[in-house]
Amino acid sequence: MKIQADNIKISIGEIIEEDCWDEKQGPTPKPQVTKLREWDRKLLERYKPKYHSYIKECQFCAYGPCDLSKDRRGACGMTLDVQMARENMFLAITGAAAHAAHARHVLHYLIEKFGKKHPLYIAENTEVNAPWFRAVIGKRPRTLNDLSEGLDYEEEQLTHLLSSLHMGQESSDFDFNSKALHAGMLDHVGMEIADMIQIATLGFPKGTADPGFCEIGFGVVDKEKPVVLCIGHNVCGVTEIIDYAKENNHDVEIAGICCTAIDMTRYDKNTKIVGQLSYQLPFIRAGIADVIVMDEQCSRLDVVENAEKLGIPVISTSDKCAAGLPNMEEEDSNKIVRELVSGKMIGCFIPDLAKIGEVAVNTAMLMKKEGRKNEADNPLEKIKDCVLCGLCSQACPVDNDVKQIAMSINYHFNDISPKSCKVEKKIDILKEASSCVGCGLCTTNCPQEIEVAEIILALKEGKAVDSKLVAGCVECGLCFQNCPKEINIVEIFVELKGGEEKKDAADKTEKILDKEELMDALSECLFCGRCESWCPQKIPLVSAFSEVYKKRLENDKAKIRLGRGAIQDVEIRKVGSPIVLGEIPGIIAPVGCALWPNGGKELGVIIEEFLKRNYIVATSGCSAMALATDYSGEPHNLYEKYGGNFDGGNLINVGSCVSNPHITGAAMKVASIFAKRPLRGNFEEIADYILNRVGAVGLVWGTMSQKAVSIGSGAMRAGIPVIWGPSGVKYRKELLSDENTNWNVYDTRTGKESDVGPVPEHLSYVAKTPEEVMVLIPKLCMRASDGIKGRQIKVAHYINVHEKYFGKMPDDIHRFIRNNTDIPVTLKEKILPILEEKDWKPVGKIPDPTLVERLCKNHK
Amino acid sequence: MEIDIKKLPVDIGVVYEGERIRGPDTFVELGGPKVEFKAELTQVVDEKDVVDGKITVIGKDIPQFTCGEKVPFGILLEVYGEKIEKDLEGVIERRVHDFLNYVQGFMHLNQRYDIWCRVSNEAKEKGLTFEDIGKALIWLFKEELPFIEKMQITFMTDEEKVKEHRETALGLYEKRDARIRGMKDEEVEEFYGCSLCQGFAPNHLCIISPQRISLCGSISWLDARAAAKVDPDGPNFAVPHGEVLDEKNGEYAGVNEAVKEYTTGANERIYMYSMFDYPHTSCGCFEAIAFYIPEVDGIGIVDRNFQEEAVNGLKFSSMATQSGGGEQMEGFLGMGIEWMHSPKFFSADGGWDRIVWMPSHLKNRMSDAIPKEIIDKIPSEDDTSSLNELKDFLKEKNHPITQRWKSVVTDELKEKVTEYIQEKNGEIYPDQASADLGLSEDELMNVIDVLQKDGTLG
Repeated sequence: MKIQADNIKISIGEIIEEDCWDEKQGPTPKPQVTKLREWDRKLLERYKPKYHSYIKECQFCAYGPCDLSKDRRGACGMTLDVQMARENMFLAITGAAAHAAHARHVLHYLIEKFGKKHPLYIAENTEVNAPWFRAVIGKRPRTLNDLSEGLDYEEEQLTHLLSSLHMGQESSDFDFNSKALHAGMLDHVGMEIADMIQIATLGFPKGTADPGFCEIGFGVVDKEKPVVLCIGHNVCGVTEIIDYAKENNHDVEIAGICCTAIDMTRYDKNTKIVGQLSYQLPFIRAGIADVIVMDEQCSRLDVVENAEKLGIPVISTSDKCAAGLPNMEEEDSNKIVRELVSGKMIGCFIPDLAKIGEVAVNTAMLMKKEGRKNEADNPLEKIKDCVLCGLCSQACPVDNDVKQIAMSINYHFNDISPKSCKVEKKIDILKEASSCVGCGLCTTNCPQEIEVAEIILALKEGKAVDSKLVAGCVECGLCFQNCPKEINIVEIFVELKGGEEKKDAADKTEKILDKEELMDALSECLFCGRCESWCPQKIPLVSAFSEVYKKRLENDKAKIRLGRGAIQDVEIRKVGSPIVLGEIPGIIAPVGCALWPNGGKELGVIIEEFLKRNYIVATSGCSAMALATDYSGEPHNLYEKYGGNFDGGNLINVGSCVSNPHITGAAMKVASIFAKRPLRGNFEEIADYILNRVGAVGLVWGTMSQKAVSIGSGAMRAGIPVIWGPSGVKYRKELLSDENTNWNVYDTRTGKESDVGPVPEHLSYVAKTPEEVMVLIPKLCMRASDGIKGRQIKVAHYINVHEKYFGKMPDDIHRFIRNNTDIPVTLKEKILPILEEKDWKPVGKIPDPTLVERLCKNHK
Repeated sequence: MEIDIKKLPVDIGVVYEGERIRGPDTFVELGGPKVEFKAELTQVVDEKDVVDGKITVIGKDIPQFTCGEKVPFGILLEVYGEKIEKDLEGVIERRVHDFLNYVQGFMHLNQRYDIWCRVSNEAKEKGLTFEDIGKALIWLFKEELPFIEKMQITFMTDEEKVKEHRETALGLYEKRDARIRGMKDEEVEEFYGCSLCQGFAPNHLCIISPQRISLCGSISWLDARAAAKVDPDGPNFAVPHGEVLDEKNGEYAGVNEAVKEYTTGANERIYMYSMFDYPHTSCGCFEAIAFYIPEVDGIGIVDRNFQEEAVNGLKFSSMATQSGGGEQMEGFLGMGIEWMHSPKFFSADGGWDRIVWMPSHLKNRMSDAIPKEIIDKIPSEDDTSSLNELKDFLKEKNHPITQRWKSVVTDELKEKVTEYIQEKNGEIYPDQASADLGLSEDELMNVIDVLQKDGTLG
């Protein structure tokens, strides 16, 4: 018997590793700049831009600066709206580029160390890894090398976006806004890549539900040990330092500021986090560090200068942040250490990370042994030089009354009462002014920009001077400091202002804070140092302030949950039912730079309110730190109070700022897991799914960096609304609905359009107060496809927080009740009369919502 | 009887559902793991046996405790309504959890003999009593389940009384469970549809029958029926099952129609009791997934709490992506764990005789559902870690699945024979071949037959 084996195929030769991913490729793998423009149009037609301009001027080209206020156009035809959209996009691509370059560096470095084929194992119990990569690139990355393709794409796209900033390109604000969303999307791909690389190679927690805690705060650093202070965002160099210290049994304290700190605790939880960006200056000035290692992003630009004053050596390591230091990568490590410790070299640039471990650790150890060469003078003494000019208060970016703080320090620590710097006597104006030679030095010196010389000359000539002209005078005395004739100009001005007025002014500005008030005032200081650089007396205000604030800083100790990375598939499955049934009313992502005065305190209060209400909270980066402590007072201890699962009433820390896509990616995974929507190259459908179904909201309470813009823009393009803190207006725009907004969606079942109400009501909203955030969160968690129970509970929370923080029912509640069944049982009495008054009508059947017509079942 | 919930000392509302009362904020703990006696029970009674609105407290009331006490706790709800059947007791009882949690400063966990409640210091300060809690409960029950006409509640903190109450309750739970497990799909006219998950998974519809719980495990046929009674236009609605098209697989004309309508044609046929051909679809929140293991022609089950690899080398998370989103995927079925108690559990595919692997913790948890004669024959991760070991284990224990192997051509077998044919350049002699392959001639011909049928061999 013979059997013919016809259909048997035999393959011989090299096995080609091809991904057998059977998910269908979607319509937009690696979308070009305008490929998703129609999705953007849907978003931007619903959520219209509202622009905010501080500087109404364009100075991008040499025709400028062009005044764009009052509907004026620039020399190229530019209008203010377009320029604001353009500048916002500029911020977004800057942020995206920072993460992309970071990712590229990490990839190069870690491929070198671990090899191209190192597998990408990212999270436990997870099949749907890399949701952004899948949705945007259209591939499923399996190894380190696969990630390179994603970065190639992103870098190409960023070049296109950057080119559109050139003069004579886009003329419509819509296109700039669409490009900003594109930049945001790219950013999430880049961040996701950066974090996947480090998770896969550096032994970070892999989506572990409760990865444990590490210490955070100014006061947690052990000063007895040699201290290596790491500042920045790229953890690669720090891992070399940790490894070197371990391998050589050197007991050094490794502490970090900014996201590098978060990532190094994911590598080794015994390292310490000092805190966010605002800790940089006070911590450096406190002289605790024995060596400072900088990598990239959000480093203060005066690190070297400050460290130099105290004789602390600085090592810069990133080609984005070389800090002007000499390149020593070819030098012998021992020689570098000697030169740094002896002070022969204030710092150096070592881009070769392999060398950093040895240099940093040995420098710290030797510095500790030999002691620093320079000690700072007592900064409190220097406050005595204060002339009360008030320039410091003008300089303050958060409107602190710095002058009052300085005066109060003088009062409590230097025994100087405010009056004693003033002379009280009646003078003869004419006589005093008569010697003026009109040299103008006084005018140049005046911090209030008063035309001092002109006034004195007028007086000399016997003319009457309107007291209004000197109303701005703060009597600092800088005008007569350089006066060749030693004219007592202050007293002349005091006379001109008149006795009464002067007394009023004195009462107003010269209140001395008691010691507790002083501490509270300092708790609102960003320690940014802008006041110092404005101070005509060169007083080291930040040092003085940190000295006074030391007590609180030393008690600044808290615990933070380690950055866990991605959310596991299994966790998402578990919350499916409670989300549908309304037990979990939404997902909140507090991200960004919570660095403003009391930023952490306020954020903590907001977040705890919603943790108690069983929302899921997933945070990252500076916000994650601020939720542990922000030095403004008592640490919140939220991480110890609330669990770390992806579940209602739990507080997850995903990690550093490059970990953000794990949060937005969790929303994408909902689409993949519950609706089996293909992620692959299918961005629009996924974003549409999230916008209409997944009740998630981003909260960037502290807005500061450009990265916050790109992160927020990416969330928005993916259908997640973002609430910004008050400074968000400086990002130039909001995306808001108004009374004319069309809230129609298509019902995928029938293709018919129907109005689902304002859900979510805005896409990008700047909140002015924490109270406003409180009511926005439950509101922006509402979605078109909410089930009855889900909508009931969201409505109940909206009403409850509104009553709690504004003392009354919200006046728009009727817009969120679709049918009677949406009314929570205990609130019928309150809601029904409003519905009647507003002439409300039930909408009937809830559609299966989409904004994308092609997704309707009967669409041809 | 008129109750004004606004006059109670604490607020009542759904927003307190997620409220957690932590240890330091607790005034008194009622029931809970540190207390032996606790139980809550609902009884449907005759109209004459209930005084509407009556609230009785046996033992100390909240204000009489001292801070930090942990005390025995019993709740007895007695309800009457013309339309209330005895079968609804469990459904009503389950809502006690929701409604007690609506009370600000009161937390309720678990159910039945396992309840664990806490009263916050703040609520105590405001003067909360059992009378208030009872009023809130009665008001909420009547608002949400309007078929309840009369209700009275007894709270017990007296140890002897709670002990007695618990004894009674344990007997009644058992009776209730036995009765519910005894209900048959054939005996009812209507199944229920559940479209709750459609907000997330528009192509999926759950069909819930007395012998098939929802795959999230949270909605039984009785639950769905009660919900449909309260809100006929809501997400739970009656599906008259209509003509039985296939008794064995559980295919019903009415079910097919409902599935077609609610998934707008994405799916048209559903087998209720099988994972093959037209399996029931799922959203994504199923408690466990059953997976076909072709190598042994059996079915494995893995729940989402099991984080290691299942016997086929795949984790729950990997297999779970095969199912979900309302797609029919033969060989994978998302399911509620409680379904294991049902005689219709994979009844079309061979029932428990077909189950060849489960994680040990699930086996323990469901030991009362697994037939005694097979429980030791089903291996867990403690017994097997590979398919080969699985096969050996099943053989050794003489698992009923081994009976099926005799007549079944597995993929493995096909591959083996194909490879052999290839090796011999397509020229084989049955007697030699069967000897080489360790098969009987009949078995070999059987395999070749199948290979020819599926086109592998010309």
